[in-house]
Amino acid sequence: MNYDGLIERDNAVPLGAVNPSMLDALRRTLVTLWAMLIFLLVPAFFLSFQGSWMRKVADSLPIKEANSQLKSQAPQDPPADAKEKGNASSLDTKAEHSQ
Amino acid sequence: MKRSLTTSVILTLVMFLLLAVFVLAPQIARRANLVPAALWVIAMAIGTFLILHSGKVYRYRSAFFVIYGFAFVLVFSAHLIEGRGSMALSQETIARHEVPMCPVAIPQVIAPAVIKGIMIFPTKLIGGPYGGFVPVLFIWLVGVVTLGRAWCSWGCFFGGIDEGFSKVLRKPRLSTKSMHPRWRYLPFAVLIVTVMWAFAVLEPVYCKWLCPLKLVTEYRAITDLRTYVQAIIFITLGMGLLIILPILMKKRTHCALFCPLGALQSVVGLANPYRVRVDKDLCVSCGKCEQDCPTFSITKGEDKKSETFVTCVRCGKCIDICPAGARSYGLVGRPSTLGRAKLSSHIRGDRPNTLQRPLAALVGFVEEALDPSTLFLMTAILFGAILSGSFVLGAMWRLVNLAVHGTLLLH
Repeated sequence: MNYDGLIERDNAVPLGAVNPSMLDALRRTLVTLWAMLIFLLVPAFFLSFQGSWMRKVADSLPIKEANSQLKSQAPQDPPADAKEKGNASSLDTKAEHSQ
Repeated sequence: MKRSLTTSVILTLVMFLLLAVFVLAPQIARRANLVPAALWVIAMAIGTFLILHSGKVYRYRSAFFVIYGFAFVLVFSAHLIEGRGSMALSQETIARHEVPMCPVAIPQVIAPAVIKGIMIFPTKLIGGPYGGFVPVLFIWLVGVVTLGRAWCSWGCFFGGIDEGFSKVLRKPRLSTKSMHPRWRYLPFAVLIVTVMWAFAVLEPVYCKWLCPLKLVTEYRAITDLRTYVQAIIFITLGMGLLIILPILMKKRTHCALFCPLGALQSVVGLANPYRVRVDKDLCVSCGKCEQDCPTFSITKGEDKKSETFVTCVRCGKCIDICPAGARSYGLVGRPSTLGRAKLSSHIRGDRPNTLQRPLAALVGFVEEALDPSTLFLMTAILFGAILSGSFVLGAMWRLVNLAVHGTLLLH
């Protein structure tokens, strides 16, 4: 069986004979810039983690709860505090709208 | 790749400042005791320095990762017991959609959510003690972009468990030399089967029937024959893949041979530019990396030199143990920087004058700081340290509580 397709091949250019053409230099610069941006992405993401944008994304997702089988097996009347918690979630609000 | 003392110190300070913002500042805002957070930030900063200066990645990363994995299990289990009185999942909790979202469930959740608009995992879209589906999805997406498959060695909540057990024995009791490379495809098979099965029945079937991680997190309460069989399956798989096989084989068997998220990460993680590169000129074909790789991700190519498979988790073991120093982190499309002549050396020359010396030092710093290997390590350490922070701090508190009050539970 041939596994070549999934091997992360190294650049075939021998190290001692790298010819830094303009195109090569440009490609290397762009990949390095991409790597630096990735580094900056980490603090940027965690600084804004669970901000209002995340709730907006959650509210805008066209996803509703399923698990009809599980739901039908569940107790018909969950405790009052659970009801309150459930209603607070965007997921349940969406389910109500869809009904 | 070893870095100079100056570069290592400067980059460690950068890491310390970033961790102070992400780990210490939230504790200050909460007016919590700062001692555990300060200890963790200092420990991570020291770890950063040791990795950068010594060039040894696996040794220090592994210590962090195992602590993170076991801290997660301790905190998560204690949370469940405090909140529900048990680690077992009741039917009521499932019906209320109050199950914490698990990243390993993401592959089977995506297709029904995108195609049918249905969330098959019983969790909130947002909210609850662990954030719900959307925050976990975003953490995973950022992990994909920033780390690729390195998620499995720097960010995963569970990876430290089988890695921890794989370090119990000094030598393997079960040889893996005769294992055929096709075993590496097993997680891809598990991924395809669970995604299709989940889509067909619109249920998180992997979580219900296969997930070995239920051994260390939450599981369905045993109420009938079906849940009894499910319990037997997860206990068997969990004991085998997370504990017994890692100990005997000294491999991360769950991550390498079973985890569907790892398989998905191998594919979507190709969007990440970092790879472990081999300098074929330096490689002496000793086979040590192939033999010791914890995830069976290295094979010998046609030229007898080592090649890295797409399932590589960037753990750094091959980099540490390579006797020829032929392996390093690199960027896709760029050859390994190991053997390349440095511009700073040219500037310094044989007899540097007063202008050449500082200029060479400055250029040398920029070269080392922007080296792909350094950029990867800074990114991975930062991601892992932020994600692990709350679990490690929580575990510290609970262990102190155990010593003082005799219980891991806080209330």
